[in-house]
Amino acid sequence: MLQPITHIQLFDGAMGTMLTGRKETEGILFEDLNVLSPELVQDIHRQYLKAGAEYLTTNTFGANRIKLKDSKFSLEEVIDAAIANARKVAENSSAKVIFDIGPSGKLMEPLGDLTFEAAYNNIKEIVQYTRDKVDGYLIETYADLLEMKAAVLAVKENCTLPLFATMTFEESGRTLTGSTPEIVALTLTSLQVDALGVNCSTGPDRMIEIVEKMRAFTHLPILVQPNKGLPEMCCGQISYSLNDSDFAFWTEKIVAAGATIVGGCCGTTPQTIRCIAHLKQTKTKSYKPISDTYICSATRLLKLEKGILCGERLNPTGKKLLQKALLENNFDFLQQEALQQAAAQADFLDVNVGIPNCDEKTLIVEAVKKIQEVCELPLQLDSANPAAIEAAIRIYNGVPMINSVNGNEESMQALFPVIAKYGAVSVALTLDKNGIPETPEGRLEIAKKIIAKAAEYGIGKHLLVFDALVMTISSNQQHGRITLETLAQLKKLGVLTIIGLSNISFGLPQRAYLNRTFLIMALQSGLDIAIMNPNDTDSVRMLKAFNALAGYDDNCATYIAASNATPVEIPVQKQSEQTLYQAIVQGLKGTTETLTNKELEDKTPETIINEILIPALTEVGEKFEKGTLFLPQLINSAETAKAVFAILAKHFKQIDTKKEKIILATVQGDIHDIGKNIVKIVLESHGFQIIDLGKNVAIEKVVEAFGTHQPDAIGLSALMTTTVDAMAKTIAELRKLPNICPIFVGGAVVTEQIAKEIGADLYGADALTTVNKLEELWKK
Amino acid sequence: MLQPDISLINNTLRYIGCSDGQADEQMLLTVRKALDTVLTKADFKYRYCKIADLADTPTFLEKEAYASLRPFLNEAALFAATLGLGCDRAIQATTKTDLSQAVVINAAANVVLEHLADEKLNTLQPKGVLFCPGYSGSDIIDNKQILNYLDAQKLIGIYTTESGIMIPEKSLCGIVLNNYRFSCKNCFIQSKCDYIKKGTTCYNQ
Repeated sequence: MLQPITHIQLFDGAMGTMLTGRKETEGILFEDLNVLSPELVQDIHRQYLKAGAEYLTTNTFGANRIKLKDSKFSLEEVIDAAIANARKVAENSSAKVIFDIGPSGKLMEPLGDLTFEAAYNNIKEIVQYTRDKVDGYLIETYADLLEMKAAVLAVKENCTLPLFATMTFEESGRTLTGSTPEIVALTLTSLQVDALGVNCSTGPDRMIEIVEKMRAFTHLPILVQPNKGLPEMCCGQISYSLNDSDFAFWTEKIVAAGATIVGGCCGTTPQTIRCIAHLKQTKTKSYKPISDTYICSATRLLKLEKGILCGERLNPTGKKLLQKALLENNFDFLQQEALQQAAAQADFLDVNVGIPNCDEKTLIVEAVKKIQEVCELPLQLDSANPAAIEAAIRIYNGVPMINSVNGNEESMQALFPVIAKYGAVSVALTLDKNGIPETPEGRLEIAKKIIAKAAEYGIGKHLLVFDALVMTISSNQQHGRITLETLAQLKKLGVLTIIGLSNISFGLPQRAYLNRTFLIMALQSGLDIAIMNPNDTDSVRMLKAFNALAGYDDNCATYIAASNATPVEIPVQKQSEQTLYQAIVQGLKGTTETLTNKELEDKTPETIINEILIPALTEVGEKFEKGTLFLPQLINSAETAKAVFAILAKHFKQIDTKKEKIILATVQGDIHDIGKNIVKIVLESHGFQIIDLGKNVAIEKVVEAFGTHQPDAIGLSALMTTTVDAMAKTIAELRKLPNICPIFVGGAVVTEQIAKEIGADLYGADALTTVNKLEELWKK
Repeated sequence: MLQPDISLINNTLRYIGCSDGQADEQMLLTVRKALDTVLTKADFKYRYCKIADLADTPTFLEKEAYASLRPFLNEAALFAATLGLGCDRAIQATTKTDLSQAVVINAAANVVLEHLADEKLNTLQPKGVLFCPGYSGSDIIDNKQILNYLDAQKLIGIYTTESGIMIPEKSLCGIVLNNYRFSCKNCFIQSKCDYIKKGTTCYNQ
């Protein structure tokens, strides 16, 4: 733990700048200099100590297993030497030796190929090796909030030393991966680092605003280590635009903005640090923890307050399609559902994957990763299984809501430590081991008990959102009234409230009317957050209208914005005389259901397939090959045909509209998948069953999938020359299996010749050729 | 901000295989929408450094695949540029809801990146064409050295995977060569090249 800070504290400045441009360091990794030129490194530490630095940072920015690949020495040798150099200088002084942890140099999944576990283990190894030798850790220059979270957990779970965590921001005021200073401050405060802040980035002048924004979201010490101005490349060297006195001028302003610890990054020298050393005389202010309630994703911050809408569509209860998607690990479905709810103005999304006979812990982790891959909205991690919630919260990028804790001792003992450790807002159900109280007073007593217990774990009541619990009025007509009165009572405790709206109408006809009316009654009684279906446009509009009418929407801004928002695009058939054949050729996806059902009135599914679908696809293929129809149109036609197949299969289950089963994968090391997705949709449009393993697929996963699914063919895709090797290795492993099916390959760099050389059976130059070759293969 | 002018529209159409005059109203609308998305999401950044100004000469240039470049290296520079992660994210999300539109956004992003890179290269000295690792039988893994010399990860946020793939995906890097003329001679996709089939090339002759 960091000791309380009463005066501004001083870190050192740049190590790299001091090592650059010297003859003795040319062509040598800076980390290797710890071993090769200890006197040089020690001299730099000494200069910073003399300049007034109270924290000396080890020369270990790139000293981790992932990054330190070109070193002449082992990671341990480099680390030992670096710590010894700083220790030697710090001895007989009060200066602390802080182990410097730079980023891995890899981008995290899904944008890159670094997994959360790999990022975590990379730092864990360092901490376990160094924790008895240093006085603390500085995680710095991180550009990705999720990599930062992995590193913070790796430090905090493996030692109790002080942890400083700083990120770098671009000129846009966001990190490379899009996090704002507020989001960074909220997330790192929730993770309980000892100090957080900003380093590197632009010059100190631009950091004032960042510090102000961070300060509004944290009570913790803020560490700021700016570059000495904007970097400019000149004569092969990077130079920086400010002089030392300018740097000092701006650093004083940074302190006034709320920084408590300052130092320097790129371009700074001992002289720069000397110029800001006088700030150590400045008393620090104390700051209170924030009392408003926020959740966030990596790029979206959400204040929880009156009139917030939580999308309920990612909960499999009563949703057969979602249940099926979860059973089949079809995360595309979840991603589409998430994006649709986001487009329908949900503020955050509930994610529940609880289906019978599934490994919920694994499933929710994968679901959260996949949803965060495409959807910016914050999430509510919803499970009755505390282990599943912890697994999901661990890899969640940002600060989530969790659903839920309740008045049972067991529940609180399981979840409060998780909330305290990772930081989250939790739904608190007003029930306990005796069930749901029948009276508002009974539910209120449970709420009070939960608040008191949470406080024992250091969790403030602003981090609890109380569910007044809704039960259907079809079983007891008083249920609605009890919920409304509970909401009113809960508001007297000064807490946020939430309900799952649609339960109220369960078992009754025309549920939408009951739901909408109850929404307004609940809002009037004290409801803050409604868990509901955002696709019910009328409910969403009524929610916004309530906020405007009740004075919760300044200048009716949200209401007006929502009214002006582009409605969710639901393509409609414009020409009533359109035929299904024309719809497929023209790729009019929105017309599929009406036209297919119309054809089904007087045709069998086989007739539709043979006389409409296949001829239409043939025409599309011919036009594409002639160059009179283009890739986007081909895809639209394929998606239309796929939708027709789905309708035929749904209405006439006895008809087997499915053809051969094909596994598709973009090979290991390749993160491009748009080409594979095109092949997938075109194959599906021709009725093939596709098992899509995704991108960057490990060889063993393809081999395993062959065993599990016993496909009729396997298709592999690679965009880059460097990943053709992985394609060859995947084929080689598959060839070792008995009864291996045909393997086809494709991708921008793959040619007929390469396909032969690496042992593929077929080469697909494009999606249509692939279909034709497979049809031909199976015709034989 | 860059506007989706006729040149960007035509080049995007070319990327999706649609030659001049073949696009119908719907296709033109789709391309305009894609360009709007890209221009909203793009955060163009670049780095540039003359090879003569580097502390040492990049070792990858000693490879045989770069032999034809050597007479031009005295006047050459390293260059890297990116549209940032916003475009990657837009393509990724659109792929889930509208693959057809995602393909057009992908093409539009390539066009915008090339356009902005060309525009920037025209303001720098030396001027010239950009030779990217992967051309003429050279190894794409050499991207890593170029990006390292330009400190591109730290300064403009271009990462590379183990296999040399750049992230953000809409990034490019290479060597700026004055008076250099490209050739298809060693290109490994000659056998499937649509440009060659049409009797033209992917570069300006």
